[in-house]
Amino acid sequence: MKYRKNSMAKSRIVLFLPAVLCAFFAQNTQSAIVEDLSVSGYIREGVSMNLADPRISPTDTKDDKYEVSMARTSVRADVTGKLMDVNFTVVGRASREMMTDYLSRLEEGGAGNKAMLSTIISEFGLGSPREGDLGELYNEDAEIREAYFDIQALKNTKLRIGKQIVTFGETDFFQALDVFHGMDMRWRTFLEEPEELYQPLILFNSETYLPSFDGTVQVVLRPGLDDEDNIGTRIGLNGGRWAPNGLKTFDVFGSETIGAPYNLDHPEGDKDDLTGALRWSSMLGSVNYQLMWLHQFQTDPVINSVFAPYKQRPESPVAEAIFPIVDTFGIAANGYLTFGDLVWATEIAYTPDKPYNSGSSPLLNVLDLSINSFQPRDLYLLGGYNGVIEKDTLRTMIRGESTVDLQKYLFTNRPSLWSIQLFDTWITDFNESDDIVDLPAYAATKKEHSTLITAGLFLNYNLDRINVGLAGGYDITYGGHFLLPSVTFAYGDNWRIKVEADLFYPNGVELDDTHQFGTLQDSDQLYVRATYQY
Amino acid sequence: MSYLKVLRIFHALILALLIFPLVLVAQELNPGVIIDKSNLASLTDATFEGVPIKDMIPEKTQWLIENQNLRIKLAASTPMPKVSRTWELAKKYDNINTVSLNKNGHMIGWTAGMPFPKIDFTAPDAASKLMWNFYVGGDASSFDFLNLEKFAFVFIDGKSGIERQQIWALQYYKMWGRAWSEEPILGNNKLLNRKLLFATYPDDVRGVGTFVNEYVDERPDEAWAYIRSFRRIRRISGNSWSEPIPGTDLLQEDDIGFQTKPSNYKSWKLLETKKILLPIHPDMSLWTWVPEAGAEKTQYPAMDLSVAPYWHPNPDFVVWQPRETYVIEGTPPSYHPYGRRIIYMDAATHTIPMGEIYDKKGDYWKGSMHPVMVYSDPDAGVSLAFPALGVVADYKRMHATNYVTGKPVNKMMNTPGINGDDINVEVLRKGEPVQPR
Repeated sequence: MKYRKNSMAKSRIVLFLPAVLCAFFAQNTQSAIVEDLSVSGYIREGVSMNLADPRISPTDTKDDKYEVSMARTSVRADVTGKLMDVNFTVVGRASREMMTDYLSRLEEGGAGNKAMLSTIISEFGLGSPREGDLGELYNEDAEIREAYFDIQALKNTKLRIGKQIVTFGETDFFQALDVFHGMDMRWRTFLEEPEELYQPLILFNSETYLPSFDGTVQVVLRPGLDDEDNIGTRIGLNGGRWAPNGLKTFDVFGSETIGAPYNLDHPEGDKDDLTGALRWSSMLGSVNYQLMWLHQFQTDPVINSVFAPYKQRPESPVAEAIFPIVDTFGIAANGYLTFGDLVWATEIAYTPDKPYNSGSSPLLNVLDLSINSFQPRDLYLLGGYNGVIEKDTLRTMIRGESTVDLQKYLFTNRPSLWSIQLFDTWITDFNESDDIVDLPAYAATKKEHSTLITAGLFLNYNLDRINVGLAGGYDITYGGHFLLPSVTFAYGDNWRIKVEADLFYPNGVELDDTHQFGTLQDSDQLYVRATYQY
Repeated sequence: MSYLKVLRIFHALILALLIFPLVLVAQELNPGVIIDKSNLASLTDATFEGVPIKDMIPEKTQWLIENQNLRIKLAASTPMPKVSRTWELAKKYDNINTVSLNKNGHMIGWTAGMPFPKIDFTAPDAASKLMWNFYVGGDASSFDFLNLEKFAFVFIDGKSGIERQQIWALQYYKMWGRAWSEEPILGNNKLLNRKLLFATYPDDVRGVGTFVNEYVDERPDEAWAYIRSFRRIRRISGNSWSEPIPGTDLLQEDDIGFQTKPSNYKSWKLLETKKILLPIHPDMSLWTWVPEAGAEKTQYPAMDLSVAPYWHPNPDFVVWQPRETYVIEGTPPSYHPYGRRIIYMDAATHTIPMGEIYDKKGDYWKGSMHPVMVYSDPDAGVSLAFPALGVVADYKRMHATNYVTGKPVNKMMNTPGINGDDINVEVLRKGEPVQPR
């Protein structure tokens, strides 16, 4: 894309300077200018295997159960130190994936090919799809994920300047107030630690403690120097292993002909625009609370289609995916109740005029064709092309957690943590006739309330050297649930081995009613991750 | 009387005359004698500094000697320096008349100094008062700011030896009862302490730990932990004091002998006051952790690595002195994992060099030792007793977590350039101890 080089150059200059300085002085550790230099990180290998047979395209008949869907090597380095009395941190990460047989098949089918039209035509038995490149989606060159300075500007004011991650709110798994950063969901969906998925941004971040009010005011400014790839949450609609069932070879968000490629120049979501956040944190009695205002790109994209343009026509012929900037006002709080030894947390996030897509009649449904057993309507895709509608949205979360002593029954070495969280999205000015779709580019409609519940139980054995996690979630509104049993081995200082089963149980209906868990149908995985920490 | 009978009586008398002095004059041991399983049985009639040895070694310590290769080296009692400041403050604030315990065993009316400078040891609340003296007035508690910015937890298997180590930081800032500052009380939040205890190495545990706001009144602690993978500070239970320090054999309260408000326990009882052999680390210049040393024996000189279970204090480093000791029994609340604990409190310094922990059935479960050393701060003109080594051993699992401290970079006591606001939950996010400005 024509703007890609310039934006990347800008952000890399900003990041290059501290990295060069650090590297230069790192070579001269005897220098008094750089002090307290510390390097830590990991070398990691993650391998996943299909536990179900996914349909990579509507006409796919091959059984891909037990195929290796990922073999990913990652190296991370965290460098911290002091440069002329100023603390700095640089976090770098590089990842490379082996193209397994399964991934090669997805590439040959068109995943990541930026040419969805060729993929669709091939489904009719006409020609072959253009081969895609999943390496571009999954591989990371040595990326500087974070690079910032920490400065004690005034007695009570700290500054953090550079590429960094700032979290908001209290919610696990989902994002109500924690919407300042998008996440890269393409290589492991939401299943990896959030720290590995967040898209860091170049920020000016200040925190000032006000002793008279016993609280802290935080100002975060994003001046607009970020690479466009770091804006918004990137979901699996470029094809690939985490693309929905039947669409794993369809590069919906890559195709510049009939797809919806990302546009970060849209007037409602321009990456060069100034965005930011303001937060007040304090305590009321024994309750922690935060009040915040975020003026930031919404994390989930919306489709700007040529059939009903949103503020301006899309740059691509049919549609584009954009991340409009919205204002979110919120309050988060947590506290402790001696009754039941319960820790509670809650969060309320209000976004006025939040953009959603409208149009539950899939675009391709008008094509009543059936050739080579492929019906375009089977895609149930390209819904939400009837424009963008803005609705007031309230997201709320409430969570309770405590410990339960299972030492006698399950032989754990300490009381076990359990947690239950309820999460709801309420469109306060909902109207059935608005025909809002639940997910971008999908045809299933959204209800006034969308409610999810998640729970977890964490068991520790052998002095925390063996840790078992049982996490799950249930979609109360649309049906479907997931289970994530895992065990992590932590022996010695260096090695960590994690084994996890990712099990998804969508509501079982056809793709025309695809909601969040429906996109994970037949995506069950067995995941083994070995990490060497240094 | 026949001749033979007379001869027998005569021989018996001679024998008695020979033996009687031996019985009367029991063996007085010299300093430097090491008591271990090879000689314990034969020394039970011996004395040291005129006190029978068997009376100075508690039953469980004898069990450790006989069954767990504990070796104790005798040393002459040496007086510990007195921290006069805490006693002066007790007088200044008239603690004798103003400080008391409420019906829940909680201390009220205290400003600073030794809260209970005079105790009626026959009264039922004597032990509770001693525990408060330890917690807010004892040597190890008299710091306004305790700055252990780098110490190591060493994890030891009783059969195979050292498994691994983690590096942690402990930074406790006193907000109430400050002994070395102009103002005894900081802020108006009724905070007693702001406590940071967290790991800094290895990388996957950096930031793991807790920040606690502890109050001088009876409200529960406020506690937080940092969940690094979520980049988020998380509120945790106010009862975290009774929960394990993750991955270790210690509960949060096991640190430095006992680290929670005494009123969190259901009851305290003074069992007796007597001379007990307690572990002391006499040479302040010898730190218990030398991280730059290569071999384990030189890195952890205070640990007896020559023999299983590998966690006891090294008799070449830690000696045992007869000390006037309060023997106290504590009963925790019903939800607590422990059944009871026995505390051996050194009367002169109000430190806790030794302890025993029993499970709910009454079986011996853990032993703890915290040999105290004399820490001197010439600038402040003070010397006080502080544990530079800790041993918390689980004898059911045969596993221990020791803590060792190295020579501090910054002053360990009342480090200048750090104030109470610096000790906050955000430090966990960074995973590095607070440094002076």
